[in-house]
Amino acid sequence: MKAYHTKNKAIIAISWQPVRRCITAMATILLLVSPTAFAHKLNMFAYVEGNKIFAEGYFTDGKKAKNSTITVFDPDNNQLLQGISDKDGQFTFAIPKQSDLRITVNAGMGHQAEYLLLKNELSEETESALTTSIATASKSANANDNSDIQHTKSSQVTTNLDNDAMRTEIERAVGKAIKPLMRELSTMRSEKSLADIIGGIGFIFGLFGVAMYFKSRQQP
Amino acid sequence: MHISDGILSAPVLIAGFIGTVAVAAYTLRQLDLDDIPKVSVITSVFFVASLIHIPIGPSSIHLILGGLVGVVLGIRAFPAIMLGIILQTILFGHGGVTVIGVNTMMLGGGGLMAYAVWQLRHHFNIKKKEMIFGGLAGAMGIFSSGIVLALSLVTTGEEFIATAWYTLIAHIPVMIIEALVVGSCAAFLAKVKPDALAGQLPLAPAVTATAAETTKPSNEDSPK
Repeated sequence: MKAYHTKNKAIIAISWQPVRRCITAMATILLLVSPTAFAHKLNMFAYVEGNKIFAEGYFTDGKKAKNSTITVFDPDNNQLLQGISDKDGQFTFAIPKQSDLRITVNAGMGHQAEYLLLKNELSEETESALTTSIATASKSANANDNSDIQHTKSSQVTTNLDNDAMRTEIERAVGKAIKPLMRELSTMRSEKSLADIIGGIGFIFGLFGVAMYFKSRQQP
Repeated sequence: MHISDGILSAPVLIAGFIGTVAVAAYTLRQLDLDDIPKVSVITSVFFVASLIHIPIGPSSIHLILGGLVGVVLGIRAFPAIMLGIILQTILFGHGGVTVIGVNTMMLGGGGLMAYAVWQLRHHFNIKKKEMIFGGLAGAMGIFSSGIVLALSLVTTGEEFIATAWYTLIAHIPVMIIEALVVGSCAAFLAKVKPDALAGQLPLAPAVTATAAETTKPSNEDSPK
């Protein structure tokens, strides 16, 4: 067995010199070309904006998943709605159901990604806030004098309108502000570092090392 | 070129696993102790290749290198690609756990087809045949993987001809680049270290060796 081992070692040492150099050079060049970009994996994210859900599919190299089929399922796997994303890979739709929503995007050629939007992320909160504000406003209106009622009513309407407009405006602004954050987050979640690549290579060598160990024990 | 989770139906996934286990069991038996270092190096190359992007214009491509694996490892390409895919799935989330079988059949099958094309070079007596057939093998790897991809997507209701065309057209740039890479790698290896390539003929009597080669393509480069 010892003889076999040394023979093997000799083979590796002698024969792989040029090939190894070639592979090292290739790997270095490839790593220099793009250290952060990884394969064409489809990702998606979705979030609630007012009473609408905004979904976007994109590939890890930044390309948008345009003309992709976006499908929404409820927790019991019933299809709620389906649509085609626009040229920016985006698809916006009204909230179809107050429950957890599973959103999938299929970009063809076997690319599919999904995103789970939890019930508590849906706009229930905003709705309840809206009704509360209206209720308090009308309560205060009731408390007011009859003489003043005309004036109050109109002002209250304008306040409500203002509130509404402001709310949508704020929501839109917040939505816009967190959009890059959401994208960054979902990219970070899907992207892996150089350490993972090197770890994977380590796995490969380790597994083949184990295989070699057992093979070499079998042979006399 | 990985199929994601949740697209294919259960029968296709199961068929993929059964096919993968069968082919892997057969090809792993051909794996000799002396091959293992070579197989592990090429597996690492395959594993890394599809993680690295080369920007081309507004888009970017990544190499798959199923063809190179086939050219260098012969039928041992299959277990190599299988291990590469399993690790890509676990570590990087490419494809998915349920589709490991189908993805291995797709890319590993491409590797085996590339090897078949590569072996055809023995029937030609032309200059630079390593480069030419290496290039053809590289393109063949992508081509046949594309066919398997289209075949497995048919079961989801996508129309076969249209999907196949779309897939092949989308992969033409990859096919060309892969052909160049595999062709030049094969030519380089043929010059500096011919026995690193799969299916090289022994230097002894050529006629009998060719006959043995075609009937038994599994025994080629194992130095006994």
